[in-house]
Amino acid sequence: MIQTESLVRKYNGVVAVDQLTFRVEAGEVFGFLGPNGAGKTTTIMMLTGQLRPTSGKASIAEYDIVKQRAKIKPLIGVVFEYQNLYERMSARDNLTFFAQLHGVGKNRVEALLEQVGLQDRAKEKIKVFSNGMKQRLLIARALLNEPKVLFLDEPTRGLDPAAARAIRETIESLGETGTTVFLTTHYMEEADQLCRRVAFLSEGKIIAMDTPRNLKLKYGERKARVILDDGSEHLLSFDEAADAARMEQWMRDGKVLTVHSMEASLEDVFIQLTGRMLL
Amino acid sequence: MNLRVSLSVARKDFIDALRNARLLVVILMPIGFSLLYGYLFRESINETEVAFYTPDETELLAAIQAMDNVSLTSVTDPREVEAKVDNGSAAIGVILPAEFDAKLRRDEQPDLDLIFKDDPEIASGFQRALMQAIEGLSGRPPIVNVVSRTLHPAQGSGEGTSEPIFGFFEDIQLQGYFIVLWVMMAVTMNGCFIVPTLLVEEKDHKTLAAILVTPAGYFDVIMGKLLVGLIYSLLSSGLIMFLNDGFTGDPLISILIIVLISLAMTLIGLLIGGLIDNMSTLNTWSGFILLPLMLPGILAGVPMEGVSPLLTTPLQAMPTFQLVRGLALGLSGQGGQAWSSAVILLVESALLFAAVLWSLRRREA
Repeated sequence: MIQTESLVRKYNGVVAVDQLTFRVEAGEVFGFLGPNGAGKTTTIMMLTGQLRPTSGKASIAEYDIVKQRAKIKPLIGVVFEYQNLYERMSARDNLTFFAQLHGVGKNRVEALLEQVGLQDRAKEKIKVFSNGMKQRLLIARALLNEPKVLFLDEPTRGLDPAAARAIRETIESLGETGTTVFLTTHYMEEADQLCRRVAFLSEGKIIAMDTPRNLKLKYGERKARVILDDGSEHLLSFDEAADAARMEQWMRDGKVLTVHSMEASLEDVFIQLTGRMLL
Repeated sequence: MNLRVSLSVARKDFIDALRNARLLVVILMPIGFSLLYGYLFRESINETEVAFYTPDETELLAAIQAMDNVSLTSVTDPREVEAKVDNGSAAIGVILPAEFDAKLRRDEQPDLDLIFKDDPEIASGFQRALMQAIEGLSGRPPIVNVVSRTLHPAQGSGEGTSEPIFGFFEDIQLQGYFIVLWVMMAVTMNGCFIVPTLLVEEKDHKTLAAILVTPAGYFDVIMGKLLVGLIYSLLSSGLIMFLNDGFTGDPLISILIIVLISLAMTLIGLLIGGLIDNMSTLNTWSGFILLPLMLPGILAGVPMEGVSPLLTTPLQAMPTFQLVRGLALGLSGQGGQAWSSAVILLVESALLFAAVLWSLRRREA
């Protein structure tokens, strides 16, 4: 559904996105992970036609993002990293305006207001909405044209845990309906929960790309932290026969209080790959 | 161009501007000022005392009485007319010959003595109204021999003067002066402040990015803003004209001039909006932009004899100058001379539209 080949974007000679090559299959939820300034938003801007690539190629549904931009527009929905709504207008008026641009009817507006749980607040002006409500409305706006590809740029940034959870549930349900989702985030748990595959981006380059499970297995440690009833902690390796024997003995003696697997998180993998935190 | 998209953008902006308190004030300000000044000056400026003598019955008497802001005094002796004008108790004197109406009907070109003291502005305005009244009576352009007499002619004035380049406010009374001024303010504020604000706000609040990922293009957005700017300019100007009895003289040329200036100013507004990316920059610069745009219009209204052509020629090229010239001539019933202003405004609008298209192409590239 999305394909890029050696995609490059430079700003005044500074490389923001460097030779990106990847492919996202139809119906896949794809995570694009990286710290601020890694090039995530620049990539989305190029794929959605807001920015021209300096070089390289990219296509959505086999339409070239530069030459066939007009054909791509009806196929995509975008949730921007900023809450760009008309603050003086109501939620319904915001959606109605964009529905007119897409040429879709009012029924779709009402259905989406209900889907994101804003039907009761539809008449209220956006300026009184919480960040979570605005974010839900942004998702509703991006879904007006029933897009084949949905771009979500940091959709849960700055939201409280409950609001973030509601957004994640919406994204999960979209993945189930067969919509291709291109998600950028720097929340690793979010990507782990939602994405079939993820790509790590650092300084404009993809440094790793696979399923979250494979990445964790590849870069994680096969160890467990064991706490015994005397309060002592022990780090055991799954690959050491001596550690397996020790564990068996403690279990037999009933000394084991807790066992924590030391499977790597995606964040650990990223730090291991880049030597830096995801901030 | 996607008309559906442009109309949606225009409809949204039209309502959004009314919800924005700051823009609403800017939209209403010229209309409010026109009402206030119209009310304050209506009684004092136009009450023209006319001394009138006719040896017999004439329908013209009733026609003059029906004129707006004319106070008529009938006298029994033609010398009394001159005396009243001379001592200032009447601004204008009219003396008709015997059987004026009958001679008019027989196309005998009757004389009409028009006496005034030293205010040719009032006299010329009254003479035009008088000719319209006579045309109303005879049903065709009047064949009347008007004999004008100035009791104390002002120095330097006289017949054979060529059409003035500046000083167009001399042809209209104070009420007309204010109409021209408020119309200029309305089209400048709507075109060069409201329109750029609507465009720059979209950029500043990043809503433009949201529009541009839909099937809408930047050209469609620009056309929507152009439409809303035109609608606000025409509504404001039309209201100012209507509320202040501005559709007098040659209303068709006045309307044409207003349509063209609205178009030109809105296009200038779009160019300004295209250059500026955030509201704080626009707010900082708007005053510096609006003043030079309005200044030529203000200067067009005042006489500028002896001023270097190096200064006056660029001023004449400005749209607001042509607005004041065209509208003042239209209001004073000299619409025939205002066509050159209409043509200049049309050419300028075409050039400005080309500039907007060029800036759009640059943006796309």
